[in-house]
Amino acid sequence: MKRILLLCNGGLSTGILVKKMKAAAEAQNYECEIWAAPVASAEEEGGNVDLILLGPQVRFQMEIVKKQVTCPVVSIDPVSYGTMNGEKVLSQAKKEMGD
Amino acid sequence: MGIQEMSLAMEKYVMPAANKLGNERHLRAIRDAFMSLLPITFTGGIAAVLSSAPSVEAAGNGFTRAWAGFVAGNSTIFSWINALTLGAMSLYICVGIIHFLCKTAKIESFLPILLGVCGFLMLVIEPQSLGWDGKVVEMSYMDGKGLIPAMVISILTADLYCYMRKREFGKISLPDTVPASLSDVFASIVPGAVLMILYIAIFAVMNKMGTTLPKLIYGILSPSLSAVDNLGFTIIITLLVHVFWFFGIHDAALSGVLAPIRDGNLSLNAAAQAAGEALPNIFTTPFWVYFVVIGGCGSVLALAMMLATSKSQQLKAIGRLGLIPAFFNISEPIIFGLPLMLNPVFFVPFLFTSVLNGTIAFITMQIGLIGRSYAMLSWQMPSVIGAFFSTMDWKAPVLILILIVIDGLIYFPFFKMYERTMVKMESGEEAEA
Repeated sequence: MKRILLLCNGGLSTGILVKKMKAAAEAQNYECEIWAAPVASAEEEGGNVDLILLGPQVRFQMEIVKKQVTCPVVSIDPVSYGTMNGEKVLSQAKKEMGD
Repeated sequence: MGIQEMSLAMEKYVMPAANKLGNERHLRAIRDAFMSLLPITFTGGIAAVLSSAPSVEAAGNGFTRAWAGFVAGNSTIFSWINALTLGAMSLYICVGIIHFLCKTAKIESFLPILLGVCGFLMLVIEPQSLGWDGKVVEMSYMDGKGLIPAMVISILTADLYCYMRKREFGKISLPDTVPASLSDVFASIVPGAVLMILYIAIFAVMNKMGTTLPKLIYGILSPSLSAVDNLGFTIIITLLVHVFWFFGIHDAALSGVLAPIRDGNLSLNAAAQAAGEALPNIFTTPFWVYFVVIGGCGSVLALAMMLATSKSQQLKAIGRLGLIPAFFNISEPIIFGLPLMLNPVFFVPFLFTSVLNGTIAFITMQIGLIGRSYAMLSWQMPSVIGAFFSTMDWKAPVLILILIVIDGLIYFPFFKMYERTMVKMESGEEAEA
């Protein structure tokens, strides 16, 4: 089962997106674990994770996060993020993980 | 300038600046330390709200009289809570900065924190009489006035300690049979002693000069610190934060610099409130959260309401999605969804609604029409409620409601312009289909 971690400044706005992504995953019968956390806790949270998605507003911390974890780190497309389009972000994530 | 060129300019100038500011490890440690402070400032804020009963003569119903009596009867408890929460924030910030600096240097933070606390107490608290049967000290510089010494002490401690440990400075080599935890203690003896001697030396010099480190620093910096609490600074900072957000960059990139100013001012106001004196500052954390950015950065609450009732299906969907988060000061859905980010139509209102909010709130507080803030509750508390509890002035939520209307008026013509294009596009799509 794939584990996807979403990071933004406080883990709040990504928290909204997590709900939408979980709904999308359920609709597709795609088994995965998705959760959100503040970007400051990337190191603790990002240990056993397949993919990290960064909120576009904290994409300036991409390099730091990449140094703290071993999994791929990508920034979420801003429009999908703003429209809280769980389906699109999930398919972006699946593509990154090669699913 | 077209949107493409602006995008390019962003990648070229704004992103690197945000990268530098947001990722510099000292600024990051300061920011994370202030973020960790929240449970303490929150509890201090609740206590400050509870202890601000309306005066008995003014409002004479049974409830307020009972409340005022309760506060009067427990004044020591409330003052002590204030003194050790917001009133001692510099100590906690000192611990936080050392912890986060050691974390990025990949050095165990426990020992340097112990050393830093010792250094902080030695340099920030002023002994008055140290008798064998009782000791009296002056600790009021542990509040916002001590933030700069706290940063100096913590950065000095963490950086020097990590530097010495990495170079194994003064490491006493022990046989392999000695357990690792013990040899770790021995490895830290010399670096620890160097730091302790440094603190003692600074204290001795200050003591001979008849002052303390925070008094000296505060004396030099206080003219420039009070220069920070003015309208011009509020406008410049608000503009700067919104330029960042216009490019879709979170203002956390700036908060390593801003948080000490906002929280420091808040702590001084809380101390003044507890002492029953006039509040000295306006630009505080609750001022920013509740009065300047109403609905999150961009002050999007009024815009979200208009979007939610828009004629354009797409805008309506965004508005309905973003309205509730905006109520709790989360503006990302609107900023990225509408989008406001890099959208030339909204450039002017996006930058200037918050500036206007800040200007109006600042002036009304300066002339004493609206009470100043002394309690910070939560970033997610809706502005109307937060404005009331942070000032305990019923006129503050009225001001917020007026500001929401003004924000709506500023956004309205730009919203209409955008709506027209969206409606045209949507009906064009339908005609094609």
